[in-house]
Amino acid sequence: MLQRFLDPAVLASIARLDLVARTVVEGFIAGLHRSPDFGFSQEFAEYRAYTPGDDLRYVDWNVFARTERCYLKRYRGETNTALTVLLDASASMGFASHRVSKLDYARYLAASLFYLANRQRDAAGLIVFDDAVRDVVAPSSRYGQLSRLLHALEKASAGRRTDYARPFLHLLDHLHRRGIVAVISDFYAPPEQVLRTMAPVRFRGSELILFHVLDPEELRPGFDQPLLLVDAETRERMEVAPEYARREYRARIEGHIAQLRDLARQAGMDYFLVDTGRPLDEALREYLSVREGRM
Amino acid sequence: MGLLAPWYLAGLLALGLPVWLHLLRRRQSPPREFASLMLFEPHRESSVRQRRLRYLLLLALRCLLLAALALAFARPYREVAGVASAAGRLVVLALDDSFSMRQGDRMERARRDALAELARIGPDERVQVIAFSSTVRVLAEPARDHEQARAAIAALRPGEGRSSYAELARALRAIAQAHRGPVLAHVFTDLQRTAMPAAFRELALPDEVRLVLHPAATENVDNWTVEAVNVPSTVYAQRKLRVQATLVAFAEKPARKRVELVLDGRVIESRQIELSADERSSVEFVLPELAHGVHRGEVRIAPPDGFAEDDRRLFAIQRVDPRPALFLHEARDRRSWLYFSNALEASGLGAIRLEEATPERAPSIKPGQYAFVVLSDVAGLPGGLARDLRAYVESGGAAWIALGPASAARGELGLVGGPLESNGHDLPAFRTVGELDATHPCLEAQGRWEGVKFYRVIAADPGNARVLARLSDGTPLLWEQAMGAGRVLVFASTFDNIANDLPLHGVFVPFVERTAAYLAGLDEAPGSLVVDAVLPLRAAGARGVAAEVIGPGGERLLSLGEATASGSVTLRRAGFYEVRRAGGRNLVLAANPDARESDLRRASQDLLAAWGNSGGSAQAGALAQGERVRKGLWRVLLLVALAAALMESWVAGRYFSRPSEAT
Repeated sequence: MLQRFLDPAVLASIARLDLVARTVVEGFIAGLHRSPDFGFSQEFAEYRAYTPGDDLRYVDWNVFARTERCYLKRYRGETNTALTVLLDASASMGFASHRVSKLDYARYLAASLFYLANRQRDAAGLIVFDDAVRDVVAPSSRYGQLSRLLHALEKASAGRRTDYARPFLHLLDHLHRRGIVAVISDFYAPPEQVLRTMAPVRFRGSELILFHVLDPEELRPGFDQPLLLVDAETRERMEVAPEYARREYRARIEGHIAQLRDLARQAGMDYFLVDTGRPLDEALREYLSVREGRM
Repeated sequence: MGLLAPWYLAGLLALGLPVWLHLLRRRQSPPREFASLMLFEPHRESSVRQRRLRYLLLLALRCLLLAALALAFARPYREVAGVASAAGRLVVLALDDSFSMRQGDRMERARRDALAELARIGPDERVQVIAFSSTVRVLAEPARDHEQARAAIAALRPGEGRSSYAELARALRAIAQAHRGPVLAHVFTDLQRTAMPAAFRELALPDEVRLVLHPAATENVDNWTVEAVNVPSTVYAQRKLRVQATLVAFAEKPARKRVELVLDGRVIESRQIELSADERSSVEFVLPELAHGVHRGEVRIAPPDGFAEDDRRLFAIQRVDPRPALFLHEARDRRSWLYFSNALEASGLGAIRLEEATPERAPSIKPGQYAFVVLSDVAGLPGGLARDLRAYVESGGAAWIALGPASAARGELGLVGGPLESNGHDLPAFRTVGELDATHPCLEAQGRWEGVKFYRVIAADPGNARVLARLSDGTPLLWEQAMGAGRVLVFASTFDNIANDLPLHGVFVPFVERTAAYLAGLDEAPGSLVVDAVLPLRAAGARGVAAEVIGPGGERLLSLGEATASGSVTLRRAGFYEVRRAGGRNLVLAANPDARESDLRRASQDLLAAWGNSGGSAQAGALAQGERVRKGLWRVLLLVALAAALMESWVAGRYFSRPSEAT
């Protein structure tokens, strides 16, 4: 029953992004019929002696009751995991052939990832960019971080053209520890250029995950008559014949996707193609499955 | 090249529709935003040009479809040499031999023109000669032997029928259908307006027929005629008669005419009358008391006008004694006789003299001497009378059976056989008439018998008889049954006012009068008819009994075979006919030409022109000379329109079909 709430059109009718994220994650987890303890760092790692300044929420009070000593419970992820989402908010992400635009879908996806991370007490951060860095929420696991992230997501709107260099330079400047970097974009740029820009992040030990968000109309255009198309970012105009859109364009977009996927895997990155016409849990399921394999 | 209906070219304005639609479609495609054109290639624009070309092809096909339809309706034609199209053509020479062609030299002129036209026809062309009036007769079958056609034309004489162009058009349509090729019809006629049908569509000719009208009369002729003579055909009593004649002036100026009533060759009375232009007038004469026998009379106009043949109208009148009819009833039943005889007397039907009798008197009754016999609720008949009565009816006589208590006691219908289903006592109160066959002569113009109550009706099965009246519960009340050559009418109640109150209602008198006239056969004796009328000679099924018809010239019109088998005879000529019908009844009647033939005025020129153009795009003058003929192009244009429609469907189907999406 909860599966139907993962449909993008249903999610679009939920105004608040935190509810969207909760609906997606809880619905998704409820559909797994197994333990939700996978993905980030839910597994117990060690006890550490309390030192002043530590967050009292993590004190194991059972141990204190037995030993009258304060120990903190530490989990594996707390030591090395921070999720940073780079959200492409360029003009092309505002394209929609149905009710949910690519940017909306990307927001749902990012919110779900943040909700998952917060649920497991992992640090999470956000960088919203188009041809410049438009918003930054530094990674943190503190109380209220989820609200800040979701608020930043709410504010994100389709902007101008895409430039991958600036957000990654910013990321490199502020990336102090290894973590997970998720890039959510439609990647309308030459794949070699995209990968070249992201490679330094990978070299610093962080894991890179590319979420390639595309609209069904971009994957399978269904024109029945010649159309004058206007590029959402460059405003370039071009008259396109239906036969071309049905045949050659499809081959080209599939080639583009295949090239991006292959180059990403060669560079040790994860690549996920996200179709905004399909339920959101498919992307999450694939992502978490891969993450589980890595743990 | 030319157009027969150029106003249909206005349909070309419809060409604007596809143009507008195509422009609209283009305007309906605004620029559409797409995420990125990175993967599109500018050089593919050539495909769009191909699309535009397809659009233009679609537009051209749609315009061609509409233009071809508009042009086809405009009926374009091209003129081709007549000689080239003469091969395989049938030339029909149609001559009008109606009564009006007797006027002046009309017939002579028609023959002369026909022979002249025949001389112009090429030796390879087949010629057919027909004559038409109210019917069409073939005088010479289609053949290249023009001598036969020439002889038929020369031998043709005017008849006395009424001309009908509708019949001619019907015949030409049949000829064209049989010939399966072009037909050129030359029609030689006086173009009477009364020959035109009420509906122009009856004159329509197929495209294969081209019509050329040759007028046999060039100017209107003033004419006066006796249109009708109103006089009874049979007189049963010694009394003076009024003869009313209607005169018509088909003339543009008034005239003073002498009108004479002639009887048996003797002028009885003469009147001077002023006849106004284009009006009818009536003249009334008084006939003296007539002697027994047949009298031949006429009303005529003197002096003769330009068309003397129609200046008189014949009529026949005969003086006979009333025919006896027998009313047979039980001695105790006086009421039926009282009501029935009084009703017949009140009706004024002098042709019937009613006699009453009771079964006790039966041995002395000879049914054959009566016009009809009424069996009013008779309990039973002596064996001899029953046998004689049956033989009388089967040989053409008539009987009328009324059923009442005495019949119910007998339990069967008697003369016609068959059981009675009830004695009539089971009616709870009374019933009224539910159904009445007003088309039967016995029940004409009598309303629905409203208010008539039937208290006692004897139910019987009428079998295959024609039921003329039923009660509201469906019980048959009156039915007619054939019996040999005669007829029997069964009334399931009585003529008194006990079983019903019919005798107390006004409808009883006409009911008795019309039924008596019907059974006596009085309706079958018209005084005069028009030429080409059909006169019935015998009742249906009465074969083997000879009939005889002697025509105006004293000749017998029926062969021996026809005399015993023919059911009717057509009166082809004007004059007096002596008829002896199969039932043994003799009569003399007069046949006159249809009065409409006396109107010699021509049909309007517009109507004639329209008829001349109704065939295969023919123009009368050009065709008469045989120089050039018009060949219609509408079929070609319709084929073009069909091809354009098919092409348009194919191109549009290819263009707009959406291929299945690969998922």
